[in-house]
Amino acid sequence: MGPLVITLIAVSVAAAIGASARYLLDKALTGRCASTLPIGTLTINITGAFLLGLLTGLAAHHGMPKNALTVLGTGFCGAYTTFSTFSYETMRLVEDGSIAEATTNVAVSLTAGMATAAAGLGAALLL
Amino acid sequence: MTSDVDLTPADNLPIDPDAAKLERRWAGAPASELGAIAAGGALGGPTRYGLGLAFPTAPHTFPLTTFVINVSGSFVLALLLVFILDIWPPSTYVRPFFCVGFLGAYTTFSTWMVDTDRLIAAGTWGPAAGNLAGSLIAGVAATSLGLLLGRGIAERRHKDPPEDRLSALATSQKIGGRP
Repeated sequence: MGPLVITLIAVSVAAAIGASARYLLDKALTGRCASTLPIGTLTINITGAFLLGLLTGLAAHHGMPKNALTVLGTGFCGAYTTFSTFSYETMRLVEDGSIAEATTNVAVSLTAGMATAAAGLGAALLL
Repeated sequence: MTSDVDLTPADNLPIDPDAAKLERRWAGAPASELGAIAAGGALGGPTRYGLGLAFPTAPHTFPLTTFVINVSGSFVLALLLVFILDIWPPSTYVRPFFCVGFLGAYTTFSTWMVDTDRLIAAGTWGPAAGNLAGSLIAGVAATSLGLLLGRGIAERRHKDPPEDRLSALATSQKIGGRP
């Protein structure tokens, strides 16, 4: 098997784990909180952004192999976090007339997502 | 194949309390549903990775490939959900496989955030702002478009169900008209 095939298989396995983790965590969080905000997707996306920031920083400054970044970052973090569900849930809030919640979802996702991604990149510099 | 070994544990065997707790918490998530999600994710992740390899974007420029992936995934998710909820007969695995698994893994939030941060760090403010606001606006617009298109199709089907159309077709052919 060529290296590309091996990388593709590794990305596939990591993505399968990431997608499953997203589902299980979303189920656990959504069942626990009686919030109109999609708290599951919010938590998943914010923690995933931190993890990808950290991995990107480790690859850039600590010589973490590029293959590890591909499998853990592109494979796991990419599949664990999701953009399509974020868009859909935001649109559903808008359609339900929950404009304040939709705005909060977008504002918190973006500010916290960018902040935690930056924190991950920064943490890699300090390590 | 039949097995002569009784695979059900005896009632008098000790039960791991943690295992029982886990089972209770995930009681609503059958293993087969999780399997469908994992299978969808196993295809969606490499699709995104493959597109990134086929259409690489230079560092410090607008990450067009991820943008197109996220926007297209949002459109397909919205359209597919209308079909699943309003048009197709109820199914167990279509939503876990395609929506949660494939499209959830195909699109990504973390790369969007890290790319935007790196564009800011590089001082490339234009692409950073474009990526942040552009993805958000295009993603929500694509979702609306998917819902609109799906609901349009659903409405046509409700007004003019396929069975009626088939009988109408048969009638029109019988009297020599055009369907």
